[in-house]
Amino acid sequence: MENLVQISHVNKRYGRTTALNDVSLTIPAGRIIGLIGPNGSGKTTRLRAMSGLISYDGNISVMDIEPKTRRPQLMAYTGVIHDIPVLPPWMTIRQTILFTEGMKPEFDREKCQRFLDKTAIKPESKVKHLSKGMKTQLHLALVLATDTRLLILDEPTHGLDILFRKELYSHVLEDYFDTHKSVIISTHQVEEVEHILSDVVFIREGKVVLFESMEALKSRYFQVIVSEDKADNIRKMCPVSERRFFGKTVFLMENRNKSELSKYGEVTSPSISDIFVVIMGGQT
Amino acid sequence: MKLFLVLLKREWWEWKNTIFWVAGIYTFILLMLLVPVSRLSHHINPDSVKIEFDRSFTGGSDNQTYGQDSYEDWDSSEPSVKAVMVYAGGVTSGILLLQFLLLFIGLFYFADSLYNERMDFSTLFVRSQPVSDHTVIISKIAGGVLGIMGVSLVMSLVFLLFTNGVIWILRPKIGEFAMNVVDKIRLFDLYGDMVVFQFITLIWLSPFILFLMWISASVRKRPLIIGLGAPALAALSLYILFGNTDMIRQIFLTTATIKDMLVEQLLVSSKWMTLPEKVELFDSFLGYLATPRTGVSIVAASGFYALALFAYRKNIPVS
Repeated sequence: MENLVQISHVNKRYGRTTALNDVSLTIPAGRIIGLIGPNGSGKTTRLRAMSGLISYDGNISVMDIEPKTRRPQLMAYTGVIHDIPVLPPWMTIRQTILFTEGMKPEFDREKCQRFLDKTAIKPESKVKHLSKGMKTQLHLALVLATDTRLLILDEPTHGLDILFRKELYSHVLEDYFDTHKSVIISTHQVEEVEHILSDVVFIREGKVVLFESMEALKSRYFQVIVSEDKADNIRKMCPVSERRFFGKTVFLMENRNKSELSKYGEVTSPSISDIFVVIMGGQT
Repeated sequence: MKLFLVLLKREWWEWKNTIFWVAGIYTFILLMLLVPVSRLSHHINPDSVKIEFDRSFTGGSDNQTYGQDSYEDWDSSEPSVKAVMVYAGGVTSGILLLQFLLLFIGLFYFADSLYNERMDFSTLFVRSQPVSDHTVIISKIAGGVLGIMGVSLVMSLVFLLFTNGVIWILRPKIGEFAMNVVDKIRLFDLYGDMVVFQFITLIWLSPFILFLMWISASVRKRPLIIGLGAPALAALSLYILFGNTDMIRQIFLTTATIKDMLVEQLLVSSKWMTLPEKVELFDSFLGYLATPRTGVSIVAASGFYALALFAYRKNIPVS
């Protein structure tokens, strides 16, 4: 499988703060990667380094292009949506479309229009008169109508209501993604993206703590819900975490046999947020 | 090149309303001035305008010369001379008003050019397009220069039409001598000169323009006040601390020289009474262009361009 992004021993410091700490990562094509970490963990810095917006030490190659030195070339094949509205507020919707069409030769105006027809956005409106959700819809329409190979979403649902959130990710999945393209989504709201992710990267204090495919993660971690009388049996198996839930005890298990666990209680797949809390919190 | 043109179009979209407003207000003011001019013209008594000018023509109308060679030889008590002087004063004032408006637009434009993008975060949108930072900054400079020159030309045309309107109104009243002088000043022929001199003015002002862009790319608030205040403060500090007036003189010199050049654009400087038959456009152009000042301006502007580019790359807004 072709590698879309290769990050090798990348470091970035802001004064005394280390934003990226010897990061190495390889992202193949045809994947949807969730970059998950608490606030200040270095998610945005990583995405900005990959977009060529900031300088860094080490090597990054995105589609064989070094972002730091060749950002314009990279942006011809890359779409980026930030956690804040970035479309010029004084522009009309029509102008944003004309501007993007002029900038990106692969832009498909009809596709963009079809997307916007499903929304309440009017072509003569100004961007500043749109709600935050509408601004994101517009930006998404502009990005999805461009045949880019990499889509970078930096907390794209920040400040949006649940309807917009669901809609955004379903558009990404249905209108953009295929086996030749990759999507990198940065978020700290794990639960809203886990159903679409193919891989997950956990980041803490600028370091990659975990990088696994969702399949590997689901076969590695199990959640077993047991009654109090059987809890000690599970405790002997060294669970990763333990919590009380409606009179029962929920254990998170790592690298255990599923059939063996099912003797003591109901075995389910844990949510990414459960695994995230355990790994990032260092709980046992 | 295509991307550059798209960025220029973007500048036009952003600033066209300002341009239309300024041009509209300027035209409106001029049109309103026609009313008192027209009313005042009724009070001029044609009998009081004596034509005492010695019409010593040496040839046909194209080769006319005037008896007086310099401004000092003229009798300013003559009503016809007064009319010409009022006319010259009007033209000069109009040009200065025009240049003041352009300076006003220019200062706002360059001080806000990179600042606004950072404040509304749209710089992140621009940087997600396949254009280099150089192209973005150069498009801003080109947008400003073309915008200022474009507005200048359109508003100059309006002004010249206004001037000719005033002459048309006053023609029966101001006497033959005055009309001869006025007719000699071929305002529309000098229109091309104005473009050339605007260009030189912009070269000389380029260090300040790029300085403003550097400020625009760097500061967190009030780029115009900082951009104007910093050099003034530096000049004042030099004077107070070291008694050095070089910088103050330099600021006034820049303003004075540009004003002189602007006035010369329409040949209404103190030498205008000699009224040359032909405007030596390129002699004059090269005379201004081929000076150490042009070289120094370009070198200083390059330095500020590098600073603006560095600040533009470094100061990426954080949400």
